[in-house]
Amino acid sequence: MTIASARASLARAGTALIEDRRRLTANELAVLAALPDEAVPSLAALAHEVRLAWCGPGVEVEGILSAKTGGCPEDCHFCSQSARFDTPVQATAFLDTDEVLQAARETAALGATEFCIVLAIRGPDERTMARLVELVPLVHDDTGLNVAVSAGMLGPGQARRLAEAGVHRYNHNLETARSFFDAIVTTHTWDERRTTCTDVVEAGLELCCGVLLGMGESHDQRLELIGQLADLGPVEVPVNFLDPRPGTPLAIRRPVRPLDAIRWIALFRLGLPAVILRYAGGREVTLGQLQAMGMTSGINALIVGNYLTTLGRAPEADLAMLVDLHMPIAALTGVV
Amino acid sequence: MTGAGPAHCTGCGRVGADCPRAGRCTGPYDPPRYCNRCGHRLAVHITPTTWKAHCRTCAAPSPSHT
Repeated sequence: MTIASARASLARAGTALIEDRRRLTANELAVLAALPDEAVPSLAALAHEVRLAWCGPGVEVEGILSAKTGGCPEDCHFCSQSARFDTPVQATAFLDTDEVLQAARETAALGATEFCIVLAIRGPDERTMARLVELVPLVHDDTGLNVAVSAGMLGPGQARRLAEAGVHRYNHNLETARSFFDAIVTTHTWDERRTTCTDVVEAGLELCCGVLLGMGESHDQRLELIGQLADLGPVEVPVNFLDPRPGTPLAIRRPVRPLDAIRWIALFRLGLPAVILRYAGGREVTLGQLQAMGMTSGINALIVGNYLTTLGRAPEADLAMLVDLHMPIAALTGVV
Repeated sequence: MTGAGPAHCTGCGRVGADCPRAGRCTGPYDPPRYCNRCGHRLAVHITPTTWKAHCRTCAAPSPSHT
Protein backbone atom coordinates (compact mmCIF):
# COMPACT_ATOMS: atom_id res chain seq x y z
CA MET A 1 0.00 0.00 0.00
CA THR A 2 1.34 3.44 -0.90
CA ILE A 3 1.38 6.35 1.52
CA ALA A 4 -1.16 8.13 -0.70
CA SER A 5 -3.61 5.25 -0.53
CA ALA A 6 -2.96 4.91 3.20
CA ARG A 7 -3.86 8.59 3.60
CA ALA A 8 -7.07 8.06 1.64
CA SER A 9 -8.04 5.04 3.77
CA LEU A 10 -7.45 7.02 6.96
CA ALA A 11 -9.54 9.91 5.64
CA ARG A 12 -12.45 7.59 4.85
CA ALA A 13 -12.22 6.00 8.31
CA GLY A 14 -12.17 9.43 9.94
CA THR A 15 -15.26 10.52 8.03
CA ALA A 16 -17.10 7.35 9.04
CA LEU A 17 -16.21 7.48 12.73
CA ILE A 18 -16.23 11.21 13.43
CA GLU A 19 -18.54 12.87 10.92
CA ASP A 20 -20.99 10.04 10.21
CA ARG A 21 -20.51 8.58 13.70
CA ARG A 22 -20.77 5.04 12.49
CA ARG A 23 -18.62 2.02 13.29
CA LEU A 24 -16.19 0.66 10.74
CA THR A 25 -16.96 -2.53 8.92
CA ALA A 26 -14.64 -5.51 9.27
CA ASN A 27 -13.29 -4.84 5.80
CA GLU A 28 -12.61 -1.18 6.54
CA LEU A 29 -10.71 -2.16 9.70
CA ALA A 30 -8.72 -4.82 7.79
CA VAL A 31 -7.57 -2.15 5.32
CA LEU A 32 -6.26 -0.03 8.20
CA ALA A 33 -4.52 -3.07 9.74
CA ALA A 34 -2.53 -3.41 6.52
CA LEU A 35 -1.17 0.14 6.55
CA PRO A 36 2.64 0.37 6.27
CA ASP A 37 4.71 1.14 9.37
CA GLU A 38 5.24 4.71 8.12
CA ALA A 39 1.50 5.32 8.46
CA VAL A 40 1.23 4.10 12.07
CA PRO A 41 1.65 7.60 13.60
CA SER A 42 -1.21 8.84 11.39
CA LEU A 43 -3.30 5.82 12.37
CA ALA A 44 -2.59 6.59 16.03
CA ALA A 45 -3.54 10.24 15.56
CA LEU A 46 -6.88 9.22 14.06
CA ALA A 47 -7.49 6.81 16.94
CA HIS A 48 -6.82 9.60 19.42
CA GLU A 49 -9.23 11.90 17.62
CA VAL A 50 -11.87 9.15 17.66
CA ARG A 51 -11.31 8.53 21.35
CA LEU A 52 -11.83 12.24 22.11
CA ALA A 53 -14.94 12.40 19.93
CA TRP A 54 -16.57 9.28 21.39
CA CYS A 55 -15.28 9.23 24.97
CA GLY A 56 -13.97 12.69 25.84
CA PRO A 57 -10.64 13.65 27.39
CA GLY A 58 -10.96 11.85 30.76
CA VAL A 59 -8.74 8.96 31.74
CA GLU A 60 -9.85 6.32 34.21
CA VAL A 61 -7.18 5.22 36.67
CA GLU A 62 -7.44 1.86 38.39
CA GLY A 63 -5.47 -0.18 40.89
CA ILE A 64 -5.59 -3.97 40.89
CA LEU A 65 -4.86 -6.46 43.63
CA SER A 66 -4.13 -10.16 43.41
CA ALA A 67 -6.13 -11.13 46.48
CA LYS A 68 -5.55 -14.86 45.95
CA THR A 69 -2.40 -15.73 44.03
CA GLY A 70 -1.30 -18.84 42.16
CA GLY A 71 -2.53 -22.41 42.41
CA CYS A 72 -5.04 -21.96 39.60
CA PRO A 73 -6.24 -25.27 38.10
CA GLU A 74 -6.55 -23.80 34.59
CA ASP A 75 -3.77 -24.03 31.99
CA CYS A 76 -3.78 -20.61 30.32
CA HIS A 77 -0.38 -20.88 28.64
CA PHE A 78 0.59 -17.27 29.32
CA CYS A 79 -0.08 -17.36 33.05
CA SER A 80 2.47 -17.84 35.81
CA GLN A 81 -0.34 -18.51 38.29
CA SER A 82 -1.34 -21.84 36.76
CA ALA A 83 -0.64 -24.82 39.05
CA ARG A 84 0.04 -26.86 35.92
CA PHE A 85 3.33 -25.10 35.14
CA ASP A 86 6.53 -24.97 37.17
CA THR A 87 6.76 -21.23 37.63
CA PRO A 88 8.38 -19.11 40.34
CA VAL A 89 5.02 -17.94 41.68
CA GLN A 90 4.21 -19.40 45.10
CA ALA A 91 0.51 -19.91 45.74
CA THR A 92 -0.89 -17.88 48.61
CA ALA A 93 -4.29 -17.85 50.32
CA PHE A 94 -7.04 -15.23 50.01
CA LEU A 95 -5.73 -12.11 51.73
CA ASP A 96 -7.22 -10.91 55.00
CA THR A 97 -9.83 -8.19 54.85
CA ASP A 98 -7.39 -5.69 56.39
CA GLU A 99 -4.82 -6.43 53.69
CA VAL A 100 -7.37 -5.85 50.94
CA LEU A 101 -8.55 -2.63 52.58
CA GLN A 102 -4.98 -1.37 52.88
CA ALA A 103 -4.36 -1.99 49.19
CA ALA A 104 -7.59 -0.19 48.32
CA ARG A 105 -6.56 2.79 50.44
CA GLU A 106 -3.22 2.92 48.60
CA THR A 107 -5.15 2.97 45.35
CA ALA A 108 -7.49 5.73 46.48
CA ALA A 109 -4.53 7.82 47.65
CA LEU A 110 -3.21 7.80 44.07
CA GLY A 111 -6.38 9.47 42.84
CA ALA A 112 -7.74 6.33 41.20
CA THR A 113 -11.48 5.75 40.92
CA GLU A 114 -11.53 1.99 40.35
CA PHE A 115 -10.13 -0.93 42.35
CA CYS A 116 -10.23 -4.50 41.11
CA ILE A 117 -10.02 -7.53 43.40
CA VAL A 118 -8.54 -10.40 41.39
CA LEU A 119 -8.55 -14.08 42.32
CA ALA A 120 -6.59 -16.81 40.51
CA ILE A 121 -9.35 -19.41 40.41
CA ARG A 122 -11.46 -21.25 37.84
CA GLY A 123 -14.55 -19.75 39.41
CA PRO A 124 -15.85 -18.83 42.85
CA ASP A 125 -17.12 -21.51 45.24
CA GLU A 126 -19.64 -20.58 47.92
CA ARG A 127 -16.98 -19.68 50.47
CA THR A 128 -15.29 -17.34 47.98
CA MET A 129 -18.62 -15.79 47.03
CA ALA A 130 -19.31 -15.10 50.70
CA ARG A 131 -15.92 -13.37 51.08
CA LEU A 132 -16.52 -11.23 48.01
CA VAL A 133 -20.03 -10.28 49.05
CA GLU A 134 -18.62 -9.19 52.40
CA LEU A 135 -15.52 -7.44 51.05
CA VAL A 136 -16.91 -5.37 48.21
CA PRO A 137 -19.16 -3.04 50.25
CA LEU A 138 -16.45 -2.71 52.90
CA VAL A 139 -13.93 -1.52 50.32
CA HIS A 140 -16.40 0.82 48.67
CA ASP A 141 -17.59 2.36 51.94
CA ASP A 142 -14.05 2.73 53.28
CA THR A 143 -12.48 4.30 50.19
CA GLY A 144 -15.26 5.54 47.93
CA LEU A 145 -13.71 3.56 45.07
CA ASN A 146 -15.77 1.72 42.51
CA VAL A 147 -15.02 -1.93 43.13
CA ALA A 148 -14.50 -4.43 40.35
CA VAL A 149 -14.00 -8.17 40.73
CA SER A 150 -12.23 -10.77 38.62
CA ALA A 151 -12.91 -14.27 39.90
CA GLY A 152 -13.06 -16.49 36.84
CA MET A 153 -16.08 -18.19 35.34
CA LEU A 154 -19.36 -17.58 37.11
CA GLY A 155 -22.06 -20.12 37.78
CA PRO A 156 -25.81 -19.60 37.64
CA GLY A 157 -26.94 -16.63 39.70
CA GLN A 158 -23.45 -15.59 40.79
CA ALA A 159 -23.26 -12.51 38.57
CA ARG A 160 -26.54 -11.27 40.02
CA ARG A 161 -25.32 -11.86 43.59
CA LEU A 162 -22.19 -9.86 42.89
CA ALA A 163 -24.25 -7.07 41.38
CA GLU A 164 -26.45 -6.99 44.47
CA ALA A 165 -23.32 -6.83 46.66
CA GLY A 166 -22.30 -3.62 44.90
CA VAL A 167 -19.74 -4.89 42.41
CA HIS A 168 -19.41 -2.15 39.82
CA ARG A 169 -17.68 -4.03 37.05
CA TYR A 170 -16.75 -7.67 36.48
CA ASN A 171 -13.59 -8.59 34.62
CA HIS A 172 -13.51 -11.67 32.47
CA ASN A 173 -11.17 -11.61 29.51
CA LEU A 174 -11.70 -13.31 26.19
CA GLU A 175 -7.90 -12.97 25.86
CA THR A 176 -7.80 -13.98 22.20
CA ALA A 177 -9.89 -14.85 19.17
CA ARG A 178 -12.14 -17.88 19.24
CA SER A 179 -10.15 -19.45 16.40
CA PHE A 180 -6.88 -19.25 18.40
CA PHE A 181 -8.12 -19.95 21.92
CA ASP A 182 -7.55 -23.73 21.84
CA ALA A 183 -3.84 -23.14 21.28
CA ILE A 184 -3.67 -21.16 24.53
CA VAL A 185 -6.12 -22.84 26.91
CA THR A 186 -7.31 -26.46 27.01
CA THR A 187 -9.07 -26.63 30.40
CA HIS A 188 -12.02 -24.51 29.36
CA THR A 189 -13.39 -23.15 26.12
CA TRP A 190 -13.74 -19.72 24.58
CA ASP A 191 -17.50 -20.26 24.59
CA GLU A 192 -17.47 -20.86 28.35
CA ARG A 193 -15.71 -17.54 28.78
CA ARG A 194 -18.20 -15.84 26.55
CA THR A 195 -21.08 -17.28 28.56
CA THR A 196 -19.74 -15.70 31.74
CA CYS A 197 -19.41 -12.41 29.87
CA THR A 198 -23.02 -12.49 28.72
CA ASP A 199 -24.17 -13.49 32.23
CA VAL A 200 -22.37 -10.43 33.59
CA VAL A 201 -24.12 -8.11 31.16
CA GLU A 202 -27.52 -9.67 31.81
CA ALA A 203 -27.02 -9.23 35.58
CA GLY A 204 -26.58 -5.49 35.07
CA LEU A 205 -22.88 -5.40 35.85
CA GLU A 206 -20.49 -3.46 33.67
CA LEU A 207 -18.43 -5.96 31.68
CA CYS A 208 -14.67 -5.56 31.55
CA CYS A 209 -13.39 -7.94 28.89
CA GLY A 210 -9.73 -7.82 28.04
CA VAL A 211 -7.30 -9.10 25.46
CA LEU A 212 -3.73 -10.36 25.50
CA LEU A 213 -1.72 -9.66 22.38
CA GLY A 214 1.51 -11.34 21.34
CA MET A 215 0.76 -15.02 22.00
CA GLY A 216 1.30 -16.05 18.38
CA GLU A 217 -2.09 -15.05 17.03
CA SER A 218 -2.25 -13.76 13.47
CA HIS A 219 -3.32 -10.26 12.46
CA ASP A 220 -6.53 -11.75 11.07
CA GLN A 221 -7.19 -13.31 14.47
CA ARG A 222 -6.69 -9.96 16.18
CA LEU A 223 -9.24 -8.48 13.80
CA GLU A 224 -11.53 -11.43 14.52
CA LEU A 225 -11.20 -10.68 18.24
CA ILE A 226 -12.15 -7.03 17.73
CA GLY A 227 -15.29 -8.19 15.94
CA GLN A 228 -16.11 -10.65 18.72
CA LEU A 229 -15.70 -7.92 21.33
CA ALA A 230 -17.89 -5.58 19.32
CA ASP A 231 -20.61 -8.25 19.36
CA LEU A 232 -20.24 -8.68 23.11
CA GLY A 233 -20.41 -4.97 23.95
CA PRO A 234 -18.11 -4.62 26.98
CA VAL A 235 -17.85 -1.29 28.75
CA GLU A 236 -14.11 -1.75 29.19
CA VAL A 237 -11.40 -3.55 27.23
CA PRO A 238 -8.03 -3.86 28.97
CA VAL A 239 -5.21 -4.33 26.46
CA ASN A 240 -2.49 -6.63 27.77
CA PHE A 241 0.73 -7.42 25.97
CA LEU A 242 2.45 -10.73 26.60
CA ASP A 243 5.27 -10.41 29.08
CA PRO A 244 6.73 -13.91 28.66
CA ARG A 245 6.82 -15.56 32.08
CA PRO A 246 9.42 -18.15 33.13
CA GLY A 247 8.05 -21.67 33.34
CA THR A 248 5.01 -21.06 31.14
CA PRO A 249 4.64 -22.52 27.64
CA LEU A 250 4.92 -19.01 26.21
CA ALA A 251 8.14 -18.19 28.08
CA ILE A 252 10.26 -18.09 24.94
CA ARG A 253 8.01 -15.82 22.87
CA ARG A 254 9.31 -12.36 22.07
CA PRO A 255 7.30 -9.32 23.20
CA VAL A 256 5.30 -7.41 20.61
CA ARG A 257 7.37 -4.72 18.84
CA PRO A 258 6.62 -1.24 20.20
CA LEU A 259 5.34 0.18 16.91
CA ASP A 260 3.11 -2.86 16.40
CA ALA A 261 1.72 -2.34 19.88
CA ILE A 262 0.83 1.25 18.95
CA ARG A 263 -0.73 0.04 15.70
CA TRP A 264 -2.97 -2.43 17.53
CA ILE A 265 -3.95 -0.06 20.30
CA ALA A 266 -5.12 2.28 17.55
CA LEU A 267 -6.97 -0.48 15.72
CA PHE A 268 -8.76 -1.59 18.89
CA ARG A 269 -9.90 2.01 19.40
CA LEU A 270 -11.03 2.35 15.80
CA GLY A 271 -12.89 -0.96 15.98
CA LEU A 272 -14.38 -0.27 19.41
CA PRO A 273 -14.80 3.51 19.44
CA ALA A 274 -16.92 3.81 22.60
CA VAL A 275 -15.14 1.46 25.01
CA ILE A 276 -12.92 2.32 27.91
CA LEU A 277 -9.64 1.09 26.42
CA ARG A 278 -7.24 0.43 29.25
CA TYR A 279 -3.49 0.07 29.34
CA ALA A 280 -2.90 -3.14 31.27
CA GLY A 281 -0.15 -5.69 31.85
CA GLY A 282 3.00 -5.81 29.78
CA ARG A 283 2.99 -2.20 28.62
CA GLU A 284 6.25 -1.31 30.33
CA VAL A 285 8.08 -4.26 28.76
CA THR A 286 6.45 -3.85 25.34
CA LEU A 287 6.26 -0.11 24.84
CA GLY A 288 9.20 1.16 26.85
CA GLN A 289 9.67 4.79 25.87
CA LEU A 290 6.46 4.83 23.78
CA GLN A 291 4.04 4.67 26.72
CA ALA A 292 2.95 8.30 26.33
CA MET A 293 2.35 7.65 22.63
CA GLY A 294 -0.13 4.92 23.56
CA MET A 295 -2.12 7.50 25.49
CA THR A 296 -2.49 9.45 22.25
CA SER A 297 -3.30 6.35 20.20
CA GLY A 298 -6.70 5.55 21.65
CA ILE A 299 -6.07 4.55 25.27
CA ASN A 300 -8.29 6.32 27.82
CA ALA A 301 -7.66 4.33 30.99
CA LEU A 302 -4.76 2.71 32.74
CA ILE A 303 -3.82 0.38 35.53
CA VAL A 304 -1.55 2.35 37.77
CA GLY A 305 1.21 0.82 39.87
CA ASN A 306 1.84 -2.90 40.16
CA TYR A 307 0.08 -5.77 38.44
CA LEU A 308 -0.87 -9.22 39.74
CA THR A 309 2.53 -10.93 39.71
CA THR A 310 4.78 -8.27 38.21
CA LEU A 311 5.58 -4.69 39.07
CA GLY A 312 4.57 -1.61 37.11
CA ARG A 313 6.43 1.63 36.73
CA ALA A 314 6.11 4.16 39.52
CA PRO A 315 2.55 5.54 39.78
CA GLU A 316 4.03 9.03 39.96
CA ALA A 317 5.43 8.59 36.44
CA ASP A 318 2.01 7.71 35.05
CA LEU A 319 0.26 10.53 36.89
CA ALA A 320 2.87 13.02 35.67
CA MET A 321 2.37 11.70 32.14
CA LEU A 322 -1.37 12.43 32.38
CA VAL A 323 -0.67 15.97 33.63
CA ASP A 324 1.77 16.55 30.79
CA LEU A 325 -0.81 15.30 28.28
CA HIS A 326 -3.59 17.47 29.79
CA MET A 327 -5.68 14.37 30.41
CA PRO A 328 -7.82 14.68 33.54
CA ILE A 329 -8.52 11.65 35.73
CA ALA A 330 -12.19 10.71 35.57
CA ALA A 331 -14.53 7.87 36.43
CA LEU A 332 -15.78 6.66 33.08
CA THR A 333 -18.64 4.51 31.96
CA GLY A 334 -19.59 3.10 28.61
CA VAL A 335 -20.89 5.35 25.85
CA VAL A 336 -22.17 2.41 23.81
CA MET B 1 24.32 -11.79 50.44
CA THR B 2 23.11 -12.77 53.90
CA GLY B 3 23.84 -15.72 56.17
CA ALA B 4 26.76 -18.16 55.99
CA GLY B 5 25.92 -20.07 52.79
CA PRO B 6 26.25 -18.93 49.20
CA ALA B 7 23.59 -16.50 47.97
CA HIS B 8 20.84 -17.76 45.70
CA CYS B 9 19.51 -15.86 42.69
CA THR B 10 16.17 -14.29 43.64
CA GLY B 11 14.94 -14.78 40.06
CA CYS B 12 15.64 -18.51 39.53
CA GLY B 13 16.61 -19.81 42.98
CA ARG B 14 19.92 -21.28 41.86
CA VAL B 15 23.12 -20.74 43.79
CA GLY B 16 24.82 -17.71 42.25
CA ALA B 17 27.48 -19.65 40.31
CA ASP B 18 24.83 -21.94 38.76
CA CYS B 19 22.56 -19.12 37.68
CA PRO B 20 22.81 -18.60 33.92
CA ARG B 21 22.57 -14.86 34.43
CA ALA B 22 24.98 -14.66 37.33
CA GLY B 23 22.27 -13.96 39.89
CA ARG B 24 20.52 -11.37 37.75
CA CYS B 25 17.44 -13.31 36.63
CA THR B 26 15.11 -10.83 38.25
CA GLY B 27 13.93 -8.34 35.64
CA PRO B 28 13.26 -4.66 36.31
CA TYR B 29 9.55 -5.37 36.79
CA ASP B 30 9.88 -8.60 38.77
CA PRO B 31 9.75 -8.88 42.55
CA PRO B 32 12.13 -11.46 44.04
CA ARG B 33 10.67 -14.96 43.73
CA TYR B 34 13.27 -17.07 45.55
CA CYS B 35 14.91 -16.64 48.94
CA ASN B 36 18.48 -15.46 48.59
CA ARG B 37 19.40 -17.50 51.69
CA CYS B 38 17.90 -20.92 51.01
CA GLY B 39 16.71 -20.74 47.38
CA HIS B 40 13.13 -21.73 48.18
CA ARG B 41 10.19 -19.95 46.62
CA LEU B 42 8.97 -16.84 48.40
CA ALA B 43 5.38 -15.98 49.21
CA VAL B 44 5.06 -12.61 47.50
CA HIS B 45 2.31 -10.12 48.24
CA ILE B 46 2.00 -7.37 45.63
CA THR B 47 -0.23 -4.33 46.03
CA PRO B 48 -0.60 -1.36 43.68
CA THR B 49 2.20 0.58 45.37
CA THR B 50 4.31 -1.94 47.22
CA TRP B 51 5.35 -5.55 47.60
CA LYS B 52 6.64 -7.79 50.34
CA ALA B 53 8.10 -11.26 50.23
CA HIS B 54 8.41 -13.93 52.89
CA CYS B 55 10.32 -17.19 53.00
CA ARG B 56 8.35 -19.91 54.73
CA THR B 57 11.48 -22.05 55.04
CA CYS B 58 13.78 -19.48 56.61
CA ALA B 59 10.87 -17.61 58.17
CA ALA B 60 12.81 -14.57 57.08
CA PRO B 61 11.13 -11.63 55.38
CA SER B 62 12.81 -10.14 52.36
CA PRO B 63 12.86 -6.37 52.35
CA SER B 64 9.56 -4.78 51.44
CA HIS B 65 9.67 -2.31 48.64
CA THR B 66 7.61 0.75 47.98
